[in-house]
Amino acid sequence: MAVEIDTSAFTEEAYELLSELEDSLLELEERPTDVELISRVFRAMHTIKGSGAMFGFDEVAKFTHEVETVFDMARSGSLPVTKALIDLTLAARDQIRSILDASRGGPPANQDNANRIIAGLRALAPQKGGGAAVAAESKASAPKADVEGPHVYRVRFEPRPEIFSSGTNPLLLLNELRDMGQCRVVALTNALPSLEDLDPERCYTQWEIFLTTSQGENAIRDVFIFVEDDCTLNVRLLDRDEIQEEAEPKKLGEILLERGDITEDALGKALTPLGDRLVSSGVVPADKVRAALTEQRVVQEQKQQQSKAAEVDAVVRVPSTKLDKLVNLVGELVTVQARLNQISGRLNNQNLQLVAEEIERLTAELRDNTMSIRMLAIGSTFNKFKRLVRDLSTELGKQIELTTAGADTELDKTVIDQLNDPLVHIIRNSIDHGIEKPDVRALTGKPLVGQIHLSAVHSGTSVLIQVKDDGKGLDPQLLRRKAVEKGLLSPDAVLSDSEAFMLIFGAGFSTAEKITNVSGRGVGMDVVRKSIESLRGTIDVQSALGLGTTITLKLPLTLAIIEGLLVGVNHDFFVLPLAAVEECVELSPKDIANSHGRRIVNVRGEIVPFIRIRERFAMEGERPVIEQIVIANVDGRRVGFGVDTVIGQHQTVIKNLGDSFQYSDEFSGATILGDGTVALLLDLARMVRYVEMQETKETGGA
Amino acid sequence: MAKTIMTVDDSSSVRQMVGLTLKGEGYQVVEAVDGKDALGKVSGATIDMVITDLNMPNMDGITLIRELRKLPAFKFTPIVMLTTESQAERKQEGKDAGATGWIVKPFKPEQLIGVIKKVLG
Amino acid sequence: MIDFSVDDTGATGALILSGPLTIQHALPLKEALLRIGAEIKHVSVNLEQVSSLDLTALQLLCSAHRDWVKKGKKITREGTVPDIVNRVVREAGFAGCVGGEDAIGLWTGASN
Repeated sequence: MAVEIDTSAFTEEAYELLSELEDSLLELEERPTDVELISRVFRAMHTIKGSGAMFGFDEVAKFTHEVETVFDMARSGSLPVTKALIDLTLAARDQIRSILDASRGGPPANQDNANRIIAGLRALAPQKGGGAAVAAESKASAPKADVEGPHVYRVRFEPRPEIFSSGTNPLLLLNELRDMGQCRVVALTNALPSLEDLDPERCYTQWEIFLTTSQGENAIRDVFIFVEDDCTLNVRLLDRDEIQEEAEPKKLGEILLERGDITEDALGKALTPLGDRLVSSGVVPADKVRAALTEQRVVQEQKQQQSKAAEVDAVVRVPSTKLDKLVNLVGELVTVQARLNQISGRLNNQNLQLVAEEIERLTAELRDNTMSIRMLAIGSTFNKFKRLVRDLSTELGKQIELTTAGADTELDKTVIDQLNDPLVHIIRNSIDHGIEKPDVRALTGKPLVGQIHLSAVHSGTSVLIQVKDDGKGLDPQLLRRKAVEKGLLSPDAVLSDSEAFMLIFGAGFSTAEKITNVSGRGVGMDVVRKSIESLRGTIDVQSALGLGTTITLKLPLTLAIIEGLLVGVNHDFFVLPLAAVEECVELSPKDIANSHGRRIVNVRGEIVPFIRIRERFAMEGERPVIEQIVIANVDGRRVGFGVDTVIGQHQTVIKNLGDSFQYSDEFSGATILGDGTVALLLDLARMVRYVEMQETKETGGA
Repeated sequence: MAKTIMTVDDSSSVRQMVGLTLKGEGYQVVEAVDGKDALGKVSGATIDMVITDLNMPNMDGITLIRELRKLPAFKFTPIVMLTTESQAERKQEGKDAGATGWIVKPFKPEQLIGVIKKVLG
Repeated sequence: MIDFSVDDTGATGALILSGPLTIQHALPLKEALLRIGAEIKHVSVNLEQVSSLDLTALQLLCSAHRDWVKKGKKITREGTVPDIVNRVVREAGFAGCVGGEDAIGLWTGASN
C-alpha cells in the first residue's frame, strides 16, 4: 500500500463529511423543503463518492453512488423528502461509516445491511428504479421542488477583470441563464475605461440579469459554479409585494434607492421626470438607470402569486474578524459616549445636552444593531443533539425522546461556539445517569419513554438554556457522601441541597456506580462549569429525587458588552456582572460586632458569608463606617462582596487584560469608565474558590 | 465549422468514452495520452477546448494546464479538468493553474456535454 | 481582419472589420481603433464581414464609440450589420450601451 498516507487523508475527510451529512440530514428532518439543505446533503455524498473512488474505496464509492442517485431525485424535486428517506439516508451514512471503520481494522461492514438500505431507497424512487439518476442530473430540464410557479430573480454578476485568463467566456454563462427561463440581460459598462486605458484582455463589464424561472436559486448559482471565485454573485428573489400589487409597482427612484445605486439625498434633488434627469445630472450612470428600468418592467410583467416568506435576503459574507473590529469600535464609542454624557452633565449646556442625548440614542441603536449581526440562532446546535440522544439511548438500552423549544433564540456567535461541549456533557449525563432504563421506569410508574427537554429563552440581557429530564433525579445525600469519600468535602461540612447538587460540577467527581463509556469519566461536568464560567455564565441545578433534574445555564447574550454593577473601594472601581447580583445590603458596625469576627452578614435571617474586596486585594484606605455588601449568586449559593460604595448599573465594554496580567484570573477583564478611569471586572466564582482554598488551608493547618 | 476538442487521459477507456460522446455531438477530437503527448500535439493544430485528466504519467494535468496557458494560442482556451478528487484544494490548484472548470469522475455523457456547452458554447 | 484606411483629405477614416473578432484579436483591434486619431473627423465603420465576436470586441467598440462621441467625431456605418453581431450584442445585454445617438446601429440593433 504505497498510498497509505493518502487513504488516511481520505478517511479523515470522509469522517468529517459524514458528520456534516448527519447534521444536515437531521436539520432536513425539520425543514424537508429546504433546497439548500438538500443540496448540502447531496454535495457531501457526492464528495465522499468522488474521493472514495479515487482512493480505491470502491465499496464506499459504489454504495454512496446508489444513495446519491436516489437523493439526487430529491434534489431535483422529483422525490419528496420524507422521514423514510431521511431514515434510510441516515442508515446509509452509518453504513458508509462502518465501511470506513472496517478499512481501519474495525469489524467488516454488514453487506446485507447495505443491500437492505439500497433496496429501501430504490423502493422510494419513482418507477425508473436504478437508472433514474440520468433524468435527475441534467439541470436545465429538472425543475426544482417548487410548486408555486416561476419566480423573478435579480442576478448581479460581477466577474473579476482577469476572468478571461481562465478560459471563461462570461457570455456563455448568460446564455445558460437564458435557457432557464425568460431572461433580460443588462450590461453595466460604466467601469469601461477610455480606449487608451482599456486592457483588451480584461473584463470591465458587469451584468444585471432578470430571470423569470421556476428553478430555484441553487440552479442559478450552479450556472456560475466554475467562476465562484472569479466573480461576485448576488442572487435575489424579488419580493412578492413588488409583483403582487399590480396597482403600485415600485417607482424608479425607490428601486434605485433600494439597490443602493443612489442616496436618498441625491434622489430628492433630482425628483420628478426621473430617469433622464438622474443621468444628465450625473448622479447615476445611464446603465444603472437602465437596469432599474428593466427591473421595474420585469417585475411589472410578472404577476404570479407567491408568498412573501419566500423572499430571500441578499446575504453578504463577511469575515468574523471584521465584525470583531466593528464590535470593538462600537465598544470604544460606547465608552466615549459615556464620557460625553458625563461632561455634558457637568457643563449644564442645554444644546450640548441635546446632542449628547441624541448620540446616546444613536450609540445604543448602533450597539444593538452591531450585536445583532453577531447573533445566531441556537437551533443548529440543538439539532446536533438529536442524533446524540438517538444513538446513546439505543446504546444504553433506554428510550429517550428529545424535545426542544426556543431553537430560534439568538446568541452571540462566540457564545454558541463554546456552548456545544458543555451541552453535550450535560445531555450525556442526563442520558447516562438521569433517565432510567424502561424496566426501572415501569416499576416506578413513569412512562417508558424518558424525556429530555432542551430549551432556550431570553431573559433580559441573558439567555437561559435549560436541560430538563424526567429521570431519577439527584440524591443530595449520596452526593455529599461521595464528595466526602473522594476527599472533596470535609465530613462536617454543612451543605444545602442546591449546594450539594453543584458538587457534580466538581473536578474528579462522578457518582456513576460503574463507569460507562458514555459519561462518568468524571471529567465532563467539571469541564462544563469551567466553560460556562469562561462565558461569564452561571449554572443552576434543580432536582427532585425520583422526578428529574433541571440544569439551567444562564449566559450573557454577548461577550463584548455586559451589564455590570459598578462599585467603589477606596478610590478604585470594580464591576460585578449584574446577571449574578441579587441584592445589596448594608453592613453596620453593629452587624460586624454581632458576627464575632467572622465575615458573615445576616440578610433577613439568612446567614450569608462575604468577601471584603479591600481585604482580598490588600487595598489601602479605611473602611467606611457603613459598608455595602453586594449579594451575588455564585455557583448556586449566595455570597456577599464587601465594598465601600455601590455606584450603580454600568454598561460594561469588556477589554481583555493583557498577557502581563495572565495570573490575575480573579479578574475577567477591565472596562474604561466615562472619565477614563479603569475598572476591573471581577470573576466572582474564581474569587470565591480562591478564598475557600485559602481558608481550608488555614483551618486545615490549625 | 466543427470545433476541435483535445482529450488528454492515460486511461484508454476514458479517452474512448469522451471521444465517442464528443463525436456524437459533432466535435472533432484529438486524443493525447498524457501531458507531454498533449503538448507535442497542440503546435500547429487548432484546438478549441482541452479536457484533461489530472493524474497522468510523464506530465500531470496541472502542469499541462500551466504549460498550455503559457502558449499564446491557449491563453484563453477553455480547459476542463477531469477529476475524481473533488477536494477543494485539488480543484483550486487546477483553477489557479488556469483551468476553466472541472468534471468529477465518474460522470455521465450528458454531464460532459453540459460542461462543454458551459465553457465552449 | 482589421483594415483601416484614411482618405486623401486625411479627415475621413474607413474601418473595415472582418472575420473573427475574439479575444485573440483584441490587441490588434485596440491598436487599430487607437489609430483613429484626432485628425480624423469622420469614421465609417463596416462590420459586414465579421464572422464572430466576443465580449472583448464589444468592450473595445463600446469604449471607442464613447471616445469618438465625446470628441465630436462623426460616425457612420457602411453596409449591414451581420446577424451574428446583433445577436452577441443582444446576448451580452449591451443594447443601448451608449447614452449618445447610435449612428452605427451597433447598440440599438441595425436594420439590415
